[in-house]
Amino acid sequence: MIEAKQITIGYQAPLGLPFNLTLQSGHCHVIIGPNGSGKTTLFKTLIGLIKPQSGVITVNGSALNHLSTHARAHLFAYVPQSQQQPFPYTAEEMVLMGRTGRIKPFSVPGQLDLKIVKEVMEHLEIGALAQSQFTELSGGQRQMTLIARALAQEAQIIVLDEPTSSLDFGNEVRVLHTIERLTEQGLTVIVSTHNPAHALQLADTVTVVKNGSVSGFGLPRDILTAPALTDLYETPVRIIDIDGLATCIAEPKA
Amino acid sequence: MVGLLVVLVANVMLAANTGQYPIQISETIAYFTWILGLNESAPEQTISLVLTEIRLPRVIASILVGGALAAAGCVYQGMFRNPLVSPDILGVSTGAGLGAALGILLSLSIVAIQLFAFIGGLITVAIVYLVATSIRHHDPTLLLVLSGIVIGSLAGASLSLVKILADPYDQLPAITFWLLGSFASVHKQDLYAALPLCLLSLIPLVLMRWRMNVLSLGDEEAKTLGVNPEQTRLIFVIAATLLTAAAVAIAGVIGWVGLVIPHIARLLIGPNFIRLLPIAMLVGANFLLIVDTLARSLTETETPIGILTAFVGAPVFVWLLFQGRRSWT
Repeated sequence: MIEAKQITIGYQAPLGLPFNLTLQSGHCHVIIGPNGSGKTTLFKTLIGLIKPQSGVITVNGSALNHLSTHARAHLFAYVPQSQQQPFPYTAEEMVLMGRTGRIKPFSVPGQLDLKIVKEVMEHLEIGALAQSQFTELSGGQRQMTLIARALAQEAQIIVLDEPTSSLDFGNEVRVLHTIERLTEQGLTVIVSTHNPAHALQLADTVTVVKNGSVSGFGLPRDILTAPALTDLYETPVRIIDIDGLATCIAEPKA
Repeated sequence: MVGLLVVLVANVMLAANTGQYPIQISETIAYFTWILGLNESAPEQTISLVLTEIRLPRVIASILVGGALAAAGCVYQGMFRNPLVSPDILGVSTGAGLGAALGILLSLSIVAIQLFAFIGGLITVAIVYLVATSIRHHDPTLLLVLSGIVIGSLAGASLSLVKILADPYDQLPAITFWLLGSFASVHKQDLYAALPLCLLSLIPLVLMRWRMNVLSLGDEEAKTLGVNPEQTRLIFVIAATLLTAAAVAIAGVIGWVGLVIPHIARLLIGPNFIRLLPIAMLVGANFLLIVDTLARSLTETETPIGILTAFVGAPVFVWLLFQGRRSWT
């Protein structure tokens, strides 16, 4: 469980007002907010990449800033928004890097690590890509490789930063289905997204970020209402129901 | 790897056989087998003297410097996530050169000159990195290369100042010849000083070779994967700078090896540092040994090796630029 008490977030100075946030284990938590709202800053603060400007964050009762880099790697596996890799590692090598926190500092990954990597890649149906160069993969394949790396890390919480932001529709659907599967397996997942429809599809809880602070937290049906989304994105939004599943669209022009 | 080792052995034989004093290949083989204890009969005294005192120190120095510069290049490129950086472009070589020139100016011992070269190199890379990281909102790659050029030329200017202050009959020729890069004046004593330095700086690179891969993903990802980027980078910077300084202290400033060899090694074996480091070192050692053999046999007077590496390195690098696709090999 992640607990943030009276924290403010920001790089040089607080972006907004102090807030509290509690994210329970075993759920999918979605963080939404418009561009520039501080979504990524909150995200990076919650996993310890940036220190909060004030307040304390604890994970399972331990203060986050007292944990070593190594200990944090056992807690959080991070899937970045995009990976600009200057060197052509193979997909398998990229996934193998997820094992770094599990091996001794002066050691190299062994047979067991390679076995785990192969299993994870098979599980995500990207086993065939193992020897392909990561830099030559499509956006969707790269994202799946990075998710595989996060799984190989065997961390308690998987954190995905706008995982579908640069993907085409087909890859977007595949990545979202993978995230759903991770949640079904009982993993704690934190996802930030710019698309409220994804929050409706995935979330157990929704955190709304606005002006550098948390402006709403709760169940999707309570938080993701048409008036709330219209207010948040400053454009008319309509919630529709398709076969019992809620999604949202921009209100068509009259 | 085995192939490169075989090439290296063949190269060593060729280099040992090349020179003013004629030695038969069978005599060289007999000498090496005698050294390795496989042959009881000692070679002729002159042959033994030429090989032990003149050619072998030079061969070992070429291997050592080639390997060290290639390893340093791999580390700098991986660490700064930039295939265009090298000990030369980051100004480390010039900084180390300045340090060593100061050492010569002060008539210090070879160990002290190496220490000065190391401090010079370390200060330069620290300033370059600090300047590049403290300016925000610009392309970090461009900043790194530009600040390397700026600090490097500042070190170059300081080097000129040292030359003006140097004794024109004794120290100045020593500094000038040495700056052009050459193995001509390598003695066994130089190797005794540089070899431990090289081996010492290779230890952390070998021990932490997997972490080098993770570091090349960038700081944020390295952190989330369990590697402390600041701490790890510091160790790598010190080790790579130590390697560069040791190379500069033996043979002066030899450009291009640290930039081009890692590219060629990546082309051969891929970017995984576990395999890249030994392969790059072997390619570097082979390359410099061939170039040095050419340098002392092409013309009557010996060509400074820095000139030859530039003639080979520059076209190869232009070719690599043309090859540059989405990723760097």
